[in-house]
Amino acid sequence: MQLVLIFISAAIVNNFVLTLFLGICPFLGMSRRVEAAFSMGLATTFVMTLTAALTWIINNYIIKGFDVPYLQNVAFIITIASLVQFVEMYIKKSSPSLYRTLGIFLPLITTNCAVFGLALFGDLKEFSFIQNIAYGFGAGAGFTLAMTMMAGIREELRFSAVPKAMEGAGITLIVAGLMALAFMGFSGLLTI
Amino acid sequence: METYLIPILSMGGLGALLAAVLVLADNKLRVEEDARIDLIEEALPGANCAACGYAGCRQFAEQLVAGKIDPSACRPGGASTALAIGKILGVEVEVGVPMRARVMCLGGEAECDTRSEYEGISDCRAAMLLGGGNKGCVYGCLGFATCVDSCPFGAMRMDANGLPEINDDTCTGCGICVEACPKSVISVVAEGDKVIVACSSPEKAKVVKEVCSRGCIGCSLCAKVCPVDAIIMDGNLPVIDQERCIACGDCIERCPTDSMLDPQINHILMIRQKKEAG
Repeated sequence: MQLVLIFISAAIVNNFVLTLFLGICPFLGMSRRVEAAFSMGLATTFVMTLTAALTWIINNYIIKGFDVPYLQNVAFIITIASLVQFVEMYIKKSSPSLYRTLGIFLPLITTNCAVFGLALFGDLKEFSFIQNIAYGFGAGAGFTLAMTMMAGIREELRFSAVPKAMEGAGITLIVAGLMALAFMGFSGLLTI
Repeated sequence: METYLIPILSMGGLGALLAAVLVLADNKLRVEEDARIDLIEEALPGANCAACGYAGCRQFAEQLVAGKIDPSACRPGGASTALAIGKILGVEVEVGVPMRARVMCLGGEAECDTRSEYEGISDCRAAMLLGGGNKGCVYGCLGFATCVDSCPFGAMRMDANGLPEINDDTCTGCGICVEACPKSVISVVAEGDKVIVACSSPEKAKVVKEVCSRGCIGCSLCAKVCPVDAIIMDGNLPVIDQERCIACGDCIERCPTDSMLDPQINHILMIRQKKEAG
């Protein structure tokens, strides 16, 4: 039960994109088409889940084991960078079409602050190993949800009469703001 | 001593471990790719300008190897690149005429009046949003250098008069500036085109004359003076048939507003494209 609550908390109540405002770059840059946005979301979910597991181990056995808390950021960064490299190789091998769709954004997961934020939040919340994985998976699912919803809205937007001055980035940011406002409605639902 | 040793060893160890995993993964997950893709990528300009319609030079090379497009589709690369690719792929390549970008406007700050003060973002697209820009001529160059910023080859710069200047040595005719210009005042023409009409305004003489001292007033003197009848009037603008033009320069001398010039002398000039003339 605890795990389900952690998952829902990370995915919806404390959605990384729309409540914590992390990972805005791919959220705006990669959300033109639903299919690409969903693929990007899946890739990020995959990376986030693995990150949650790996960083928990590194945090508890290396950082805390050797008592070097000041190295936490460095350790997390190299872990995430290597993981993204690994995922990139894996996707290139298993699905060339997905690889082409994600293009330049795949290496950009390396610098996606949502992934790094996840690693740091996981430490602050003092989760157990399994709980941290659920947290990472939930965060990824929330990211995918936000990306896909945004892409869906933007696909419809192309056919609507947007005022000339607000075309492109302007209307996209307004939509993002309204979505964030809607997600604020969930706040306080869960305290995890 | 221990203070230094522990972080060095722990981080070093972590790094080495992750590196080992990546090396293993690289061996296990390596994708066999056609070696020609790398060769072609090296032969391409490498600007990743996407003028060919693909994300970058690598994607273009992949499509080439797959035989889906023609080597000459890389406009920035021009003839030499197309021939190099043809060699790698072992196919015959037809080489087209090299193309160059030309600005179809002579109304710089000195020639063309402004109808309002613009103090917004220094970008033609932004200026364009406010009632079509601050220039007196609705068809003229706005002069905020959006094309200069867009040029992936650094072939453009703004001259002292506020008009873009194109360096023919580095311009590849890729057409990215044409896309970037909100006034559509830039065109890509064949390098060999001799005489061009450096004005885009289809308005009547009175309207043109009111705002710009070098705009084409549609007097049709050039068409009358041309010894080979290469110039015909399309509304208020002359159209030059480049096949017929013998570059005698009569029209250039006769033009009362100097809006018609030899691109060899002043390359800021623009020509109407051949297909329009035909």
